[in-house]
Formats: sequence, C-alpha cells, structure tokens
Amino acid sequence: MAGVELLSDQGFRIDGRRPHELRKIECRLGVFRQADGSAYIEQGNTKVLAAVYGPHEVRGGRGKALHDKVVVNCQYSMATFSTGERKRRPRGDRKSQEMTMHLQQTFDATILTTLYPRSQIDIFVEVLQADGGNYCASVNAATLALIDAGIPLKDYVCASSAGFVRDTALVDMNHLEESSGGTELIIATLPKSQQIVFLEMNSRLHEDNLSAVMDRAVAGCTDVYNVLDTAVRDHVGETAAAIGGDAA
Amino acid sequence: MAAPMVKVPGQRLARKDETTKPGTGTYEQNGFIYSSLAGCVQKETSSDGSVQISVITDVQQTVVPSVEAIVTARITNVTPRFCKCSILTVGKIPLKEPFRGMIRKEDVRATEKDKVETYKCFRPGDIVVARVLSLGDSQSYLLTTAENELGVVIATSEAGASLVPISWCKMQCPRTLAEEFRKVARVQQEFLQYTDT
Amino acid sequence: MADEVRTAQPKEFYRKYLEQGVRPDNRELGEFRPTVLDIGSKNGSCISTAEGSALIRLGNTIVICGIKGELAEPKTETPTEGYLVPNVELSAVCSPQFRPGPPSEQAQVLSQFVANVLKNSQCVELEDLCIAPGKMVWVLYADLICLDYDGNVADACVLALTAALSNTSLPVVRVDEETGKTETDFKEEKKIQLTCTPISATSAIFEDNVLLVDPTRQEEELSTGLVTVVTDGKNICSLEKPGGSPLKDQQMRLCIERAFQRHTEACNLITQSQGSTLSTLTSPLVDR
Repeated sequence: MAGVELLSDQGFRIDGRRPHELRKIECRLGVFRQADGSAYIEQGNTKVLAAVYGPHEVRGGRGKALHDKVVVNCQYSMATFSTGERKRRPRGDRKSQEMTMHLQQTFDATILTTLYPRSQIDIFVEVLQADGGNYCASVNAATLALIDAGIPLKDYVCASSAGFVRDTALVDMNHLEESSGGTELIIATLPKSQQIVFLEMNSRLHEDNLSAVMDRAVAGCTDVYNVLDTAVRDHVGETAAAIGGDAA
Repeated sequence: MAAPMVKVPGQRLARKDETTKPGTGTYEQNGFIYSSLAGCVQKETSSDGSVQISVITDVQQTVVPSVEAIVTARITNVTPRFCKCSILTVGKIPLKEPFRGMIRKEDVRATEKDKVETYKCFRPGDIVVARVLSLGDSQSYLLTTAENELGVVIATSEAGASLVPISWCKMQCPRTLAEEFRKVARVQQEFLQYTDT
Repeated sequence: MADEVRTAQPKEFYRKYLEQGVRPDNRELGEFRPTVLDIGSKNGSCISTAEGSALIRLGNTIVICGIKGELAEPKTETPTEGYLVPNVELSAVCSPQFRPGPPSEQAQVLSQFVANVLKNSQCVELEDLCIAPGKMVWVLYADLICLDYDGNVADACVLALTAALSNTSLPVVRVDEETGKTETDFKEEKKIQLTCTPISATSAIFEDNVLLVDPTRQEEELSTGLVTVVTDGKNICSLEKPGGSPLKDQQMRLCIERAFQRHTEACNLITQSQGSTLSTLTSPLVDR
C-alpha cells in the first residue's frame, strides 16, 4: 500500500512538502566558458548541467545537413555516480537514447530553426545527481543554456511532472515517489502561449482523474517558469547596463 | 537614464502593423511581434517613419556565414583547381569554431579567370579576406576574392618573415628581399597602419 | 584588434607577451590559475549519491570527481587488497574539439596517468579496503568528468581525485564466516585514510626555452612539449615528459621546484575547502 507512505493523513509528503509544492530550485546561467551557453540547475536533490554549442558546421559527414533549417543534436548522459547504484553506461543505454530523442524533439519545436540553415546546434545534458524528475530538470537546464547562448527561441520550455496518490495529484515527484509504481505524467509546455510541447504518461490512470493531474502538472510548469524567468532577468540585468538599451 | 527593460523569449513586444517591423532577436506570430532572445529592446526609427524593434544581447552573437558577407579565412589546401580554407571570422565577429570554405580557380580574380595559377595566388597559411558567394555544398561554403579589396592580407614568406605587399600580384620578404606571387588585397589608404618591425 | 591577431597569428601574439615575461591572462610564467575547490561526502552535500566527491575549478577548467564503492572479489594476485579504478571522461560537453563517441586517446591516456599516480604514490592503503581476504574487498570507482576544458586537465584531475578521496567514507561491511553473507551497516562509516596527498604540476614548453606552468588550452596547442611532475610533499612520485622539445637540466629542476610549491598551496586549499556544497556552480562567477 504505497499510498500510505507517500502522502500522510495531514496531507504531507515524505519530504514534508504539500501536494502542490515544487522542490527548491536553484539555477545559474553561464557556468562554463568553453560552451556557447551553459546552465546549472538543482531541483531538490536532482542536479543537472546543460551545455550548448553552436550554431556551427554540421559534423558527421555530408547528407546530415538540412538546407533550410538547423540540425538540433542532443546528448543526454548520466554520471556514473549520479544514482544510488553505480551506473555502468553513462550513455547509450535505451533509457538515455529515449531521453535524448525526447529532448531533441522538444527543442526542435522551440528553436527558430530556419535562421541557421546548414548548421548544427549541440545540446549536452549531464546529470550529476539523479533524484527524480531527470527529464524535467534536463529540459529546464537546456532552456536556460539556450537562452545563455543567445539562440533565438519561441518561448521558454518548462517541464514538470505530476502523479496521483490517494485521490490527490502531486507535483514534482522525487525518486522515491516515482519508483513507488504509481502514475507519472511528465509535461513540457511553452508557458506564455500555454502550448504543450511534450507529454508522457506512465502506468494506469482513470480518465476522470486525468484533468486534475494535468492541471497540477501545468501549474507546476508555470511555477518553474517564474523561477527560471527571475534567474534569466537577473543574469541579463547584470550585463544590461553595459549594453545601454532603451527603456521600453 | 532609466534602467533598460529586460525582455525574455516569448515576451510580446508590440503589435505588428505597417509602421513597426521585426528586427534581429524577434519573430512574428499571429499579428504580434515577440522576443526570441533575452536582452534589451532597441527601437530604431528610419527615415520613412517606420520603427524597427530588435532585441540585443551582450553575448557575442554566434553568427553563421551568410551570402554576400565578408569573411576572413586561413588557406589550408591549395590544388590547381581550387583552394580550401577555414573561415575564422565573419565581418568583425570571430567564430568559435571555424567553418570550411572553398575558393574555386575561377573565383580568384575578376580578369583572366582561365589563366589563373592558384599556387601563384595563395599558399597554405595565408590569411585572406573573401566574400561568401553561396552556401556551397554540404562540405564547404563557396568564397570569392574576385574584387580589388579582397585577397591576401597576411602571409609568411619561406624564410618565416611577414611578407610586405608591393603590387596587386606580388609580395616581398623583408629579410631575404625575395619576391613571391600572391593575389593581394588592396587596403584603403586610411586603414593602413605602418608599425615598426 | 588583439582578438583578430589572436585568431590569425596566435604564436606571434604569445611571443609579444612572453618577451615581457607575462602571459595574456596576466599571470607570471610560474603562476597557477586561481583554484576553487568544493569537497563533499555522503553526508556533507556535493554529490550525495557518491561516497566521496569533489569539484575543482582551475581557472576555466572544471573537473568533477565522484567516488563510488562496490563490493567485489579481489584479484587473484592480491587477495588481501582492494583496488581503485580511475576513469577520466573528456566528452563533447567540455569542448567542441571532442566528438561524441567512444573515449578518445587523450581520455584513455589521462585515465592511465591517474592510475599511475595512485599506484606510484600509494596514497591509499589497499589493505584497508579488504573485508574478507580472498573473498570480498572494496572496489573504488573514481569517475572524473571534465565539464569545461581549458587546458591542464591532468592537474585538475589529480587534485580533484585527491580531494575527493580525502573525504570519502565507506559503510562498514562485515562478512559472516560460516554463512558467507554480508552485513552492511550504513550507520557506521569509516573514512578512508590517505597516507599522503599526491599533487601534480604540469608545465608546457613554448618555443624550446620558455616553461609555462599550468597551460591554458591555447597555450597547450601552441606548446612544443609538456612536462608533468607529481609530488607528495617530500618525494617525487612520478615524472612524465612524453616526447616534445628537449629540456636542459636546470629547466627540469625548475619544474620540480614549482611542483613542490604547488603541493603546499594545494594542501592548504584542500584543508580549507572541506564539506562544502557545489557552490562554485551556483555562485556568481569571479571575474576571470
């Protein structure tokens, strides 16, 4: 009866959060010098780094370059010390490949790809510590890194997960809550236009409960957006005085 | 001066109509102009009254060579039919990663295109200023130096010293006084700066 | 203008600076870049899923080290000793020069270098890692991931590894003699004792006669050779000069002197930075 441990009678979760509360998010843009754009994000105990290179010449031989848009290349990799048990293969296993493809599809839809034909943008995500919500943290970190690199985006991409335990929808699940076997819904949205870019659901969920879980997840995305937006504005504000743009 | 307003991707800037135009760092959707970068807004009013809105960042704009842009490249290979080079800067902006470019034999000069001997125009290691002709094939961009202001700007002689230009097709080594053939770029008088060597 | 000369003629650019005895980033020839260290353990943040961890920022080069312990059978030649398996990863994240794919030659050479440092300095008493002779020992996997490549990854890796090992604690494991079952006591933890702290100092040889300590990526590319000296404060643990321009006796002695100096600096740094979070990644960047 996993429900008993995950959500107490008073409505508190294992780590003391309420069902609608996100974990503490700390993030920073521009962490690396070599990469064109980089970001580091900590969502609770999940620590993820993202680095963006590009746009640059397409590598990997002829034929891969697209004549009218940029090629978005992603790589999702987990450090061997990121999980409780040492991970043998940091990348190349099926779960990482799947995550890589999801990231690539998500960002292909968000980057203004027609501006850089015959070029390639690389997005590398490295998970240093995994405690649930890996995909969400990766998407959030990659968004920040793309903004740091100055690559034009349609909007931010914010991701959040939600689950359903004891008739309550929980937002931003950590590893314990994810592995309890209940439903998990991961959603990535463009917050300003309220459009869904990516959606994935695991396990079974009664359709009556679907809207509650989705609403919780979308609300989670909006909360994440507020945090990321503050971080971006702070980062740009630090350098805004040097540019001297017009007040608008 | 009021603190500049920071705009983020996805933020609405203005409504699109006849007088407002989207500039760099913005995109248009559903009749509105949105920002696509995180930076400060800049409004430029042109002579006909239209306003161009753009968003500028302090981050070095990563540029990609576009058609008709002036680029600086280093020659890597020279063959009788073409020269391969690696593009270092686009205009004034240095690239983090060089792009590959190619100058065909017929694009080296504007006159006497078929009598060109590539070895007498460029040598590996020369720095040239060229213009992008087209995006080329998947391998490299197509460049041209068929203008007076385009061609070799920096070259090293066989003795290892920096060559000094004498005419549009010859350069001289200051150490050995030997002359070498190159397709030299004509630098405008006001940009010439003589340094003591 | 300086940027254009730097891109077009990097050797000339460096030559002009070295004539004055400084480097473009305002360092002396024998000066290391400012180093920041974040060390943590299972209880003390950094990476809590790892038994020991450290993040080092050497100028613009960032390397993170995570130590994980696993139980395994000992090697047949050494039934009473555990073993250490270092692995250096230079992936596409840290620099555009590395392509995604299997570990490059450079990464493999670095892994072997770190393994040699551990073996030659004997900093970890391998018998301490033994639980049941011949049956079960600790294997420590030290994974070093380079996150930002700006030269001198070798020194950064050695420092990160030493720092992480200095704060690694393993749970106590007891093996029942009769049944052969293992009992892990997560509450009781034993810290690894280091017999010494090996620290390395790399110098790049520029144009056959100038030695630049702690080279940046551009300096490494322009150099004609590299020298690495590893010391533990009293002895020289290893000395590597893989080819490159020939050096005179005095130049070698200069490298060794610098290595000893670096050792004192680094040890102070390690003692000061115990038990911190990954603050170097979240705090504002110091002007470089």
